[in-house]
Amino acid sequence: MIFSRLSKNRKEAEGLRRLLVRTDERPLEYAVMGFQAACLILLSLKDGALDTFTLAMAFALPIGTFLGLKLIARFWPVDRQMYLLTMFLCSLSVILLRAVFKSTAKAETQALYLLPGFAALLIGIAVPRLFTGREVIIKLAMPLFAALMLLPFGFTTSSAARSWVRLGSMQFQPSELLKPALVLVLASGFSWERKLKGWIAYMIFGASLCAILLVQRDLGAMLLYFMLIMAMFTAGTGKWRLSLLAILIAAGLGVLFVSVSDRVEGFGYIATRIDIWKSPFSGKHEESRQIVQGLMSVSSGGLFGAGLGLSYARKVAVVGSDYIFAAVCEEFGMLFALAVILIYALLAVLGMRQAMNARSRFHALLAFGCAFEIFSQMLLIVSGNLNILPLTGVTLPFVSEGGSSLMGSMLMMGMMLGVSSINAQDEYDDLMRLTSGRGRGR
Amino acid sequence: MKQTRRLIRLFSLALCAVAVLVAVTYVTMVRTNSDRWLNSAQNVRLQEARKNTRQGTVYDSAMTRLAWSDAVGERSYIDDKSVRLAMSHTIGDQKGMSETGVENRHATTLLGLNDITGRDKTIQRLMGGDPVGYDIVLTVNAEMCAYAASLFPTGSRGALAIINYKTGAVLAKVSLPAFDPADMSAYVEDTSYYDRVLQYRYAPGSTFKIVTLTSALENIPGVASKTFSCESVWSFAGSTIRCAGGKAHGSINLNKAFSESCNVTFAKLAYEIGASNLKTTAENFAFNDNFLFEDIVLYPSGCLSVSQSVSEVIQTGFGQGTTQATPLHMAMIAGAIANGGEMMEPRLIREVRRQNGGSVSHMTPRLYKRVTDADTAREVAYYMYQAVQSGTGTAARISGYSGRVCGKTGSAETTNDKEAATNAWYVGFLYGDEEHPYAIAVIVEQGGSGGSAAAPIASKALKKAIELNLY
Repeated sequence: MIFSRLSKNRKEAEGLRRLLVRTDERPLEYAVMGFQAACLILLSLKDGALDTFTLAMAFALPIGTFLGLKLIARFWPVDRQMYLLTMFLCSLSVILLRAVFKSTAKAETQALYLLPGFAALLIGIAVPRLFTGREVIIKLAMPLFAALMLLPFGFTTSSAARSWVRLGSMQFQPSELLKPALVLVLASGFSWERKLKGWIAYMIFGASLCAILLVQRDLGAMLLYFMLIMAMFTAGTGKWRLSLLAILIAAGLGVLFVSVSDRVEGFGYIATRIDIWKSPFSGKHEESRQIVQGLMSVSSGGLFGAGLGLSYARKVAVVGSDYIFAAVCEEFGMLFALAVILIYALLAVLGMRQAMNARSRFHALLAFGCAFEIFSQMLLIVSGNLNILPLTGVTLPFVSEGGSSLMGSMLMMGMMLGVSSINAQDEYDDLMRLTSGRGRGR
Repeated sequence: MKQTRRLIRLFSLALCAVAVLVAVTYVTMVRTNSDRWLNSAQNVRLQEARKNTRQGTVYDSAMTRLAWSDAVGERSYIDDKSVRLAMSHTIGDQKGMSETGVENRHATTLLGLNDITGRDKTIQRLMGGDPVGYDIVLTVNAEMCAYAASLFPTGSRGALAIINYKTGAVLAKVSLPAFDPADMSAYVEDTSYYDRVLQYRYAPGSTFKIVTLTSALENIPGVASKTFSCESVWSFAGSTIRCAGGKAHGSINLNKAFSESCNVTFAKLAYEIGASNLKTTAENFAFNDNFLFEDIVLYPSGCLSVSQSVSEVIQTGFGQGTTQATPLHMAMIAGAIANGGEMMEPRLIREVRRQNGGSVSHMTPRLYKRVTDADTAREVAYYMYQAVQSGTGTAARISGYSGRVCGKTGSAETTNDKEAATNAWYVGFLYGDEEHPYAIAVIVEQGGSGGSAAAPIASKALKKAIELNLY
């Protein structure tokens, strides 16, 4: 295993990093740590009395970011920029939840979630290596994943939130955790099977997950799953005409469904949502309050924001998960919010670069799927917050409050990092082979 | 594998493009809408800011203080009650009852919340003290408004708007009944808080013939030399068109039909023009537009948007049926004819200032849209001149004024009951007077005929405006 090999040769590992990272990521590292510390120290002093939790976080988050990087880099030569940007987004979550709400409760919970989140990241990094050449395991796991998706039917009592599983005081959303699983399944399916016949099983798997989500009325998640499946099918099989056809058919069915949705039991809210989307300020629907307050929040920040903890974003319903981007806009201002959109695009592009550099189709599809999923999810919720698209209740990856979403996103980010470390390893081997013939070989 | 890489590269390019698209949409959306969104009564930031901000002062165009705040933040209004009432819809209120007044529609300015770059806010924080807002200088003249309000019969409902058609500046704006911003607890009837100039959509009646005439001149070659016949009643396509007072105009040319306001002729014209051409002209005149003006909330006017049946088209010819327009929009239509076919965006705010001096922004005239070509506009203006000289609008003539007064009266039916009093309209302008480029719209609800109830008000109001030399 690569663990032992690298830990024995620490000097070599450092040389490897220098060779392969090529850019010096330390300025970014210091910038992220500085941002975390500065924001949280300011917030801890805001209410007059010193807020010890926030002050503790002002030290814990930068140190955690730093140590996390040291820990990961000790074992895997991952792309450090991606790691640092991820940590930036995760800490933005804690900072925003502390700034927007008067109590520290939500920020505390979210900070606590960062620990399993980091563990998920580590697991994610190991995933590409663990499953390379083990397609049978993935194939066998498919029914398990589907069963996991069906869990909410057995565990929930409330009809409003049918996509959640409650276990005592704990609750989680399987659809969030299954996103990385779906990427894994499809990446292995489209890389090992090279014929249409072989793909069918995987497409049926994907379609059935979408169907389950439809029954659970989680249309946002369903849309994300569908887009992910189509993107991975296109990239994996190269049959772009076929996927274009499928997308057109699905779009047609979607329009048809939306137009009759007011007559379908339980889907009457779709027409309302679309009505609100078209004219949010008409005041016709009680539910438009959320989007009205959200749009006010978005446009209240000006260029540089109202200031940390000085916004009224808390007036927006469920600002912590659905409308966290509005809070970004109001607290930090338009320039910062644009930078956040840019950071997601950058993360996706970095991930796709790793996908293009990957030596095997499995790794390429793995990194591509994760990058695509995280970006499209950001796009869906940001467009929803800005009223460019009707609002769907998906989360902003890494930033929205909530554990399931963080775990899912961290697993996917970890998988991208894992692929990046495999790429670095391969490249290192090539270089070694070329210079001194010491390479590991394949 | 090679193909996979190529497709992934394509995906990453597409993704960057989408990210840029969302970013650009975000910026343009906030730029165009934030002002309107933030000045809604639902914005909690306004109430919160009112608690600790020293709001800006509202001045009229003659720099008379209309509303101001003292050091404690208490809001005061001008002493003269007649001015306060006449200006109530323009000033607005602190309680959020009015939607269109400056204290509501421009609350963020008065509270200093629209400081996008944060420059003034930062300076204030460094200097210490309570936050302060910006002062607003209106284009509206308070004396003019008070006088205009006094011209309406006591207890009547109605509206009046005078605009400068060259700059779009709203010079006078009166809506009756009014409310008193200084005494919001006093009882007023429900509709008092609505600004009839901006928020009431009335059937324009015969004043719409300006639009039908323009459309006829544009679409029917040689229409000006044609003769029409009017037997006072014309039954067609299931509707019966009558001329006012059962008058038969007989054989009549276009010029005369306009100045005598012959409904039958204009119904026939509308039929000849056809639904789609008439709708196009009306939309050139900004009907069915979602007005998103920077300074003013103006409710959209409607024309042929509900139905386009033959009966609807011929009714539209003389401004009945489902045709609806706000008084300010009618003034803008008249102004566009006077201005050679160019409709200016209506403006309400002459200047935004810092409380310690210094200007933040100045009004600059903005073209809203071109409604017709200059030749057609000149011809329509001539017809409107004839209507005042020798037609239904003779009462609009201004004694002692040497310039050309042009206009069109209207008596719009509001119910099917033929006995009910009609809404009296007058829409017009002073033509070719560089110093007094005024366009006016007057409506007296249930005032009877436009020529006798609205035109005299317009005459007196314009005379006063000339005396005050408003610009």
